[in-house]
Amino acid sequence: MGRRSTHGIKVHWFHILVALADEDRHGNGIVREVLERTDGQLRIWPVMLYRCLDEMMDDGLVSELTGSLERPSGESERRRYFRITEKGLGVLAEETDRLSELVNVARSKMVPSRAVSK
Amino acid sequence: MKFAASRRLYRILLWVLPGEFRRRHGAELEQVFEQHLAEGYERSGWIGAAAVWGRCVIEILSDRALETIRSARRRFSAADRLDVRRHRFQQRTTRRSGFMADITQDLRVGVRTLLRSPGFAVVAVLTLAVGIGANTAIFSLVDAIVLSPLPFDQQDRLVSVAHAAPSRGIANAGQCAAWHLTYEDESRVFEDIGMYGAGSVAVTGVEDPETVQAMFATSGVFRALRTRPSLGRAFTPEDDDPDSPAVMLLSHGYWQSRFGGDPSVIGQTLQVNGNSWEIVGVMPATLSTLGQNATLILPLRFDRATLFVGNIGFNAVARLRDGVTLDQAHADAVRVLPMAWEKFPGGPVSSSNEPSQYTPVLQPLKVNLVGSVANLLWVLLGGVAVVLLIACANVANLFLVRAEAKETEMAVRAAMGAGRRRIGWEFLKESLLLGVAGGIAGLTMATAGLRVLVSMGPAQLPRLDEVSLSTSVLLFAFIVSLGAGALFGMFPALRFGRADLVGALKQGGPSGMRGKDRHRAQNVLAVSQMALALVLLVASGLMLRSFFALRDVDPGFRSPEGVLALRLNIPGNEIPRGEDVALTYETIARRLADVPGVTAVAMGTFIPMDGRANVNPFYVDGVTPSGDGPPPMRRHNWVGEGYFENMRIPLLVGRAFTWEDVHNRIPGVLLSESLAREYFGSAEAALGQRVAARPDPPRWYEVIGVAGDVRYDGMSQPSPLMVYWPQVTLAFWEGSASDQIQTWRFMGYAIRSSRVGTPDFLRAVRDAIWSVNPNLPLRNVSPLTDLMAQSMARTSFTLVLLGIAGGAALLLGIVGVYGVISYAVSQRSREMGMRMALGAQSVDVTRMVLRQGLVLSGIGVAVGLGLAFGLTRVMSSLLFGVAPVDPLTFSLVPSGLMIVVLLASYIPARRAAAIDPMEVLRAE
Repeated sequence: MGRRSTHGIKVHWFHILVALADEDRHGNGIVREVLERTDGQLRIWPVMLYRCLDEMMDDGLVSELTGSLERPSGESERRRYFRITEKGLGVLAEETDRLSELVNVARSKMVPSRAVSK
Repeated sequence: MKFAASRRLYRILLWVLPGEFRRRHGAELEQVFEQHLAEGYERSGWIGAAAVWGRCVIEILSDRALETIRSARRRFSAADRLDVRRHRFQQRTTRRSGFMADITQDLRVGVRTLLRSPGFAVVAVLTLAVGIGANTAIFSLVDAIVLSPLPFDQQDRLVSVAHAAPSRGIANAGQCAAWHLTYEDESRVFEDIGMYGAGSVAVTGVEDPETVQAMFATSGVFRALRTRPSLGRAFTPEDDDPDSPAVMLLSHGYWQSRFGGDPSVIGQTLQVNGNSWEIVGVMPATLSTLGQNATLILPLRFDRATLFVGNIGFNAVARLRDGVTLDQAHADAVRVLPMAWEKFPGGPVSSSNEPSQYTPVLQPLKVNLVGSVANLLWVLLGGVAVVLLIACANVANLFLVRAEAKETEMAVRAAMGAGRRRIGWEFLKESLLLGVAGGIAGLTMATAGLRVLVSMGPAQLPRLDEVSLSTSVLLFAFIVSLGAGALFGMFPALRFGRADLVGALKQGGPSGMRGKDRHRAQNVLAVSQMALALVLLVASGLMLRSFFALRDVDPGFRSPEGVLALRLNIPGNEIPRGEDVALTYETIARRLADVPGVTAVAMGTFIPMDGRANVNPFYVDGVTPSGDGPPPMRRHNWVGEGYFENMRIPLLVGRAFTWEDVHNRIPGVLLSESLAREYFGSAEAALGQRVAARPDPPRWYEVIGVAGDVRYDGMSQPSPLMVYWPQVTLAFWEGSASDQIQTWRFMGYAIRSSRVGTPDFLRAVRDAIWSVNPNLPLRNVSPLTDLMAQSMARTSFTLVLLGIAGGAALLLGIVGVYGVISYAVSQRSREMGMRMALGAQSVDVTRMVLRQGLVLSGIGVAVGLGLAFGLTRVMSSLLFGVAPVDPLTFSLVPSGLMIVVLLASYIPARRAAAIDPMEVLRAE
């Protein structure tokens, strides 16, 4: 798992995990969710998306829904759905903690110094 | 659905990606791509879509490059126990995985190799450029006109609304105001509906008065299309009220050319047809997509109080409510249509003008605008594709000959361990380079050709101003170039990839290539060229026959040269009484005849080629209409004195109307020849018979003359069966009182003069008309010959393009056959010398070479005839007066082609016969 280190996981991985955190989605669904959530700032292009998904499946963060029973009802067979795994949830939580810690550190340094200088 | 073509291209592009990844995710990649594309398009139109395309192409290419590096790294670590140097050597020479890593170097070498034989490269690139250029140019037309969506917001919800009267044989009767208002009030399926028409108007009160095309539109047109003005405002519902102020819109082009794009134009007034109109807005260029090509946009206004079902012939566009299908919309229109007769009662005819006669016709707007042209464009694209194939065959031929020179080099490479793929790639990379170079040269040609095409394109070709070299066109050109390169590079690649090159090396020279093999490949190429050229030549031959057939058509009137056609319309608020209207038209005809240089003036509600018609019931005394169906319908025309004489329509028997007949309201009528024959057997027998336009009680009109048939609807349309009534008639329609006169508020004039075409003359004509009434706009002013040419425009456009394609195919094909035969002769010179040394006469040698040419072209012609039989059927809608399998074309073209091929083989044959046997033997 060379992609996870003290520097966290790739930005795209993080966003894909967030997209899958509340709901199973197919490729288009992930792209749309990320696009809407980031207000059009982050666009995941097709090859990038499936390369990431392949790697994340290799790492056991995401799994593909295979049986028709697992699919959300009313959806066509042709689309492949992805679900976040327990491990994926763990990584997401870890990364979220790391990021929020980072944010806290940054805030604690910034806010008072600004208040003082102004 | 909208991006089906893009998606297909993307699918092709995906082949660049590694096979396993592509197989696993291909379908989803396409879905995600399409979603991006749709989103990009929604955000910023075609530019957004193009940006997505660009981003995705880069993504695929960079992924491929990364993957190559990754896999090389993997393989290296797996193989580091082996001899590293051997591994590297193998990788470079045999493995496909070296593809991307080596490609830059490969291409550099390729360019250098090609530059070493510039003659070959130039010929190949130019040949390809012609083919690729022609394909790109025609594809730009197909793309802009047929493939790309109309430039309106959510254009797939736009429909055209027209009406048909199947029982009267009218497929497209358009729209009328009463129907329009009924739909507007009652329909549940249309979000908005608008009605529009075209006409020409005079802009006066300025230094240089001019007649310009105008579009008359209700405010609904702009709401339905969602076209926002580039400046000011569009029409609002208040502008539809006949009592509202006179306001108008400018087209973008006119705003630029006449006002220099000055924004302060809003609020200014312009004199149009003698009235002041306030300019309230400027519309964007996209509006011209409706095919109106208008300079000014004037409001189309109706007084609800006096409206009835009639005066059909406007166009209508509507926007379907979200989620409404075309079928649902049609069903609702069927429900609403009959209400028009209740809401707007009255109208001139009752028996034929009933709700049951009409049925609404709804079509997607795009189908309505471009439907009929699509077939023509696809045929043209097919034609130029054939030219490209022939060009590829020629270049492949050059390549085969050239490949022999490289045979030793390839054999050495094979001996050093290069695999077949590597050898094949050696040839393929050169051909791909040539293909791309040809594509770039072709794009230049396409740009120039496109300008010519657009300028010569017939006016009926819609959306011509949208034609450009768009992203999809560039992509098309790129793919076609690569495809062409792969196609002609395939021949040597396959042959040499397979050949026993090491054997060749052993023999020590190029003679190792088996002559039979090479000849077979070249012969196959020559035969396919002949076959393809024949198909194109047959197609252009058929168009030529159609063109001549059209040109030889007798329009039914003599000397259309020097005739100016125009139309007038007198609105009810200008002159209320019908008698006065009729008298005004008569006075105008007399004044026009007095204009210096005018030799004759013909006046009728419909003049030939003006694109208008009136169809109504027709009864003959003693003939009972059969069954319960609608009464028989014929075309009607109301004419003044001298109509036949001045239009130079021959009068077969009897006499024509005089002004006295018109004033006395005589119950006389003339028939067209075919109509007279239909009912009475001959023109003579029709004289004195009685006919009527109303059945019960009939008001009989006596046939006083029979005139020749006239092709009113265009040169390619049959002559209608026409009834000519005097300009003014009494108690004409069913239900009219016996003293009620019938006359029309519109009138067409045909003015014969040698001064037609000069600006002075138009001014003189206008002054003559305005001396009678200064408020009458001149509409549809055009020389009669222009109107006739317009009806032939599509045929001549197709003819010219297919002719050029056919000519190019012939030239390339001949060059190909000539090349094959003269090459064969040069290879066989030893054999020929021996033959002649052994007693063969030079005639025998000539005959032998000619026979080879004849056999090649014979097979090519046979194959081509088979193809042509199948393919020309596609063209049948473009042909006139000639069958798709026309015996003359199908016999003349093949024999002509055989003769030309014989001539082309004669030159190498002469060369073969001139071989000096002594020299050959000495060389041995």
